[in-house]
Amino acid sequence: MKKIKIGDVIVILLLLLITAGVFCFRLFGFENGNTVVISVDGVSSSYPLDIDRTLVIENEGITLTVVIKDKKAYIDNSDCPEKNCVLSGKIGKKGEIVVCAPSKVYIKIAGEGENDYDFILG
Amino acid sequence: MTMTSSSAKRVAFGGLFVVLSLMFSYMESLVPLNFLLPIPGFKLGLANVCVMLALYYLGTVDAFIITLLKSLLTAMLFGTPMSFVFSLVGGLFAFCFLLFAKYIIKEKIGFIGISVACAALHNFGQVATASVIFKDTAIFWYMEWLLPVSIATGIITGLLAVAFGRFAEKRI
Repeated sequence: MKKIKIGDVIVILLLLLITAGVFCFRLFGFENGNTVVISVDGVSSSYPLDIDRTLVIENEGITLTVVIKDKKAYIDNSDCPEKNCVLSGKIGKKGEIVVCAPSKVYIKIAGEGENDYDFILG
Repeated sequence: MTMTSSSAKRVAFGGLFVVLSLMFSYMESLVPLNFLLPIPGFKLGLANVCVMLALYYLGTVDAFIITLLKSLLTAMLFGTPMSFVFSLVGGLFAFCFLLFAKYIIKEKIGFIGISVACAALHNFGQVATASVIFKDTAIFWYMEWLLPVSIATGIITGLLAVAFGRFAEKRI
């Protein structure tokens, strides 16, 4: 039995192609956003990116800290077991997200007037 | 790759594959790969080896049952209801490709290509589930990292399946 078949090569090339496409689309498609949407268990609120602030959020028994600073947003620390959200770093471009799955919290960068928020503050 | 027709063998090896998939899942939970890629649910996906081998050496229905059982039992033993949903949807997406590979592509693809495609589809299924649960399509951007990583994890699990396959060829 041959070690590598044509189907294997096609699958891998296809994935690389799609990845390249998505990468280019993201690079050329988005500008910096000006608000950060924080969603807790499906309820979202929006905050402007240009005002530095720190928010402490608690859901599903997990407490985490969202920091908005220097026009970027990030999760500074969290009680969750794996801390993917903390490791994900800072976001600033429209559409970028950081998700904390166990606490059902995520933050996302948006432009103006693009989403239906439940609250708008600041 | 010839399928066994002995039902005793199917029961014995089917059970073995289920237990193996649980062991793989447990091993993966001990070594989180978050330092490589901080995406929730990122793992090697070794359990897929069991489903692939079952598909080609035991039967399609057997492989499907193993897919269901591995998600259910893994979640019951060391998971949460949420992890069960993610695991199941990902597993079903991957199983669709397995059917496609076995019945339509047939001989033109090997375990490595199948593994890579299953990895990509499993991740896609999980991202799709997350986008429904969190009600936001922005989560699909994770695919930009998950797709190339699927190539790597798929090759690793594919090679493992080839190695196991040589063993299976003689015994099952």
